[in-house]
Amino acid sequence: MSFMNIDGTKENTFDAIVIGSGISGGWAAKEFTEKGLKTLVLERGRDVKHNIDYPTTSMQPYEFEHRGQLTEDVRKANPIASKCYAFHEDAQHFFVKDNEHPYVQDKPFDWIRGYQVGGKSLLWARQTQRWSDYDFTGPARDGFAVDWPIRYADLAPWYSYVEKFAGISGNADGLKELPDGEFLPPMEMTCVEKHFKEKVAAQYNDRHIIIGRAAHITKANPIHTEQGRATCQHRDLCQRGCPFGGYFSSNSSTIPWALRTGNLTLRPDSVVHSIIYDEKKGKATGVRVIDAKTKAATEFFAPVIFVNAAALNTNLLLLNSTSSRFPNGLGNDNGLMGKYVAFHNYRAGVSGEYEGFENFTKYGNRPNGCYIPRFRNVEKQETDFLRGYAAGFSGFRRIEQSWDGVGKDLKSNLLHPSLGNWGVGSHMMGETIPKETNTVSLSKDQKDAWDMPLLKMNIDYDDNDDKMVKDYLEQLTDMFTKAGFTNIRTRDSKQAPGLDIHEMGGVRMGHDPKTSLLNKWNQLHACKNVFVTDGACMTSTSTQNPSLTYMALTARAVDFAVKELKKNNL
Amino acid sequence: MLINRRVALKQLGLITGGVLLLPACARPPKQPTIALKNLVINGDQEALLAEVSEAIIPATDIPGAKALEVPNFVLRMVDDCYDADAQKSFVTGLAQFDEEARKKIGKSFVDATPEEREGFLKGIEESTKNAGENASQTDLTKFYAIAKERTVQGFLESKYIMTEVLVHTMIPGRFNGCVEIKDKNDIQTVIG
Repeated sequence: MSFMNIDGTKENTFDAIVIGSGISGGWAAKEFTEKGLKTLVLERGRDVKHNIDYPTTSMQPYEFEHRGQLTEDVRKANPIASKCYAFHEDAQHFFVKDNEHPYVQDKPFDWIRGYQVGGKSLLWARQTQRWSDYDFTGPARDGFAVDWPIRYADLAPWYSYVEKFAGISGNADGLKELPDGEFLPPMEMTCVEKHFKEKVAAQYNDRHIIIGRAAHITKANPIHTEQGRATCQHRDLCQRGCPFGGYFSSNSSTIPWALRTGNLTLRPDSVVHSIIYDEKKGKATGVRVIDAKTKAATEFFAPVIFVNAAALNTNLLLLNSTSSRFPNGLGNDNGLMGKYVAFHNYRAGVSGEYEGFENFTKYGNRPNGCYIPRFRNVEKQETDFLRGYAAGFSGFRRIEQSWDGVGKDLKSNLLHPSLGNWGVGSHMMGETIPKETNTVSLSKDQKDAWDMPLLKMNIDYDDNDDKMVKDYLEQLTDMFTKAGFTNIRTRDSKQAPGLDIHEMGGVRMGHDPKTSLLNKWNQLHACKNVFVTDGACMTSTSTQNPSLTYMALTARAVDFAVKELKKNNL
Repeated sequence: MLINRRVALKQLGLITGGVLLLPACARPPKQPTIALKNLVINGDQEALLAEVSEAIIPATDIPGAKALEVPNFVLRMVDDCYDADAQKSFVTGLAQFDEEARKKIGKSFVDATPEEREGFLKGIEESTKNAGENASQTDLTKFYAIAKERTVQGFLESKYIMTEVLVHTMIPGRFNGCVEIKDKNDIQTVIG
C-alpha cells in the first residue's frame, strides 16, 4: 500500500498527535490542549458524544426487548465478548464484536476491547487505587522483570493532579501499602461489610477492609461542575454512559474539556497503521492513518507523538512501525517489544452468608465495592509464591422470592418478596509476574481489513499464579470463617487471561535501553519524541486496578514533553 | 372484471395446486399475531401459550399475564434468546402439552376451567419434581420450564409491576449501607 500524502502537509501538521481517546489518550488530549498545543487525537472507532450517543442510558428495565439479555445470534457470534460481565443488551454497542477485529490465539486470551471515542473508559469498573513504593520496588526486591525507573514520590503529585479533576471518592485509611489520595466523600459500607472490617482488624495486624476508591463524584466540586458533570446518582448503570457524568470517562470529562480549548482536532474512524520515522532527523515525524470506512490513507505530522492505543494495540502499532533503522518495530532495538506482557489474575472467588443484622438492610445502589489491599509479601517475602493479591469484597442482604407453585399462590409469592440472610462475596486480583515467554507478536501471513497484521497472543498463567489462587482461597476462607460467615464456597473459574481487562506491558519502562523500551518519562529510549503512557508501559502489574496510574503517568509525561519541546529537545 | 376476479382468486389461494389438494374439512391454520423468526407455531398455539401464561399468573386485583402482554414476551425470548435445540423442544413440547391436557382433563386446555388448568400445571410440576434431578426431561417438561420461567420474568419485569407494585427506582440518588428496618412487610424496604 502506498501512502500518498494527498492533503497538504501544512494542514495535516499539528503540535502533538495522540493515538487513542480512551482513559490515557483523553488525558493526553486534555493536557496538551490546555498547554496551548494544537493537538490531533486519532481514534480508530466511531465518535461517541457524551449523552448524545448513549442510546440506552435512560431506558427502564422493561423497555429492553430482551430485558437486558443478549440474543442467541449475538451470543453465538461473540463467544469472546460475551464472556465479559458488562456485555449485555444495554451496553453491547460499546464493545468490539468478535468477527469485526479478529486476532490469533496461540494460547487462549479473551481480548475485550472498546473501539470508539472514549474507548473502554465508558465501560471500566472505575476502581482507582494508588500504587505505593511496595509496588514500584517489587521487581527490584524480588528479582523479576526490571527495576521501575520511577518511585512513588515521582508519581504522587500527579496522582493528586488527576484525582482532583477526575473526582475520586474514597476514605483516608492511612495505609502505607495503599496511599491516600485527594478524596471526595467515601461511599458507605454495609452493616456486614463493617462487621467484616472489624473482625478482620481484630484478628490480623496487616489485613484491612476498606471502601473502594472509585472514580465517582460523590460531592461535585467546582472543577467537576465546570466540566458539566454532577454528583453520582447511584443508578449503577455506568456501562451505558452516565447522563450526569457521575463517573469519570474520557467522553464526559477530558475530551469535551480539551475540545473547549479550541486546540483539539478529534478524528474518529482513523486507524493508525504506523508511525513514520525519519532516518535523517533521527526521530518520528508523523503517523500513517487508514480511514476506517473508506480505507483511504493519509499522513499527519507533529513533533511529538503519544501512543495511547490500549496496551496490546500499542504493542501492535509500534511493532508494525518498521523502517530500515527499526526493522523490528519502532524503538525495538533490544527485541523485547511485545514481551513481558502481564495481567491480573481474576480466577478465584469466595462466597458465603451471614446470619445477623436481621433488622438491617441497605437502600439504593452502590456502583462500587469494598477493597482488601495486598497483605501477602508486603514487607518481605513470606510465602512460596512471589508477590500477592488484592481482593474485592461486598456484602448485601439477599432478597427471597419463591417461584414455587402456579396460579394465585405463585403470584402472591412473587409480589411479597422477603429478606434473606446477608450474602458476602470476594474476588481476587493477583499480580502476575511479567515473563519473556508471555508475548504478543505480529502474524506473518494474516492481516485485517486495514492492512494491519493480526496480533498473536501467547500469554498464560504459571505455577506462581496457581499457588496464589490456592493461597487466596485459603486465606479468604479463613477470614470469612473468623467473621462468622457460613455456607462458604470457593471457586477457581480458570478463566483465560484477558478477561480481567488489565493486560499490561510489552513496551516496558526501565533505566537501561538494553532491557527496556521506555525511560522514566515514558519516552522510547531510541526515539525520544514518541511516548507510551497506556498499559503497554507497565514494568510490573502489582495488584491495583491500573487506570489511575495510566492517567497520572500521562499527565506527568505530557508536562515533561511540553517542557522538552520548548527546550527544542525533541 | 376478469383481472379483478383473477386477483381475488389468487388472494384466496384457489389457483395454487397445493390448496386444492387439501381435504375438504381442513381449514388453513391461523397465523400467529406476533412476528417470529425461528419458531414455527400457529395462531391456535399462540392462543394456547397465552392461556398457559395466564394460568401461571392469573388476573387478580392485579393484572395477570395476558393483560400485561407476558405471552408475547415469552415468545419473543424463546424466538431470540434460545438455541435451535431449545426452540425445537419448546415447539414440540407445546404440541405435547395440548395433547396431554386433552388426555388428562378430557378437553382442550383452552376450554378447561381455571381449576382444571391449575391442577394440570401442578401435575406437570409434581412429575418433574418426583422424577428427580437425573431424570431426562421430556419436551413437554422443557416447554413448561421455559414457559414458566419467562412468564414469571415477563410479569415481574413488566412496566405495570415495576411502576405500580414492586416499584423500581432508577435514580435512587444515594446509597445507605445500613438501614434499620421499621416494617418487614414494607415491600419497598425489602427491595431496598
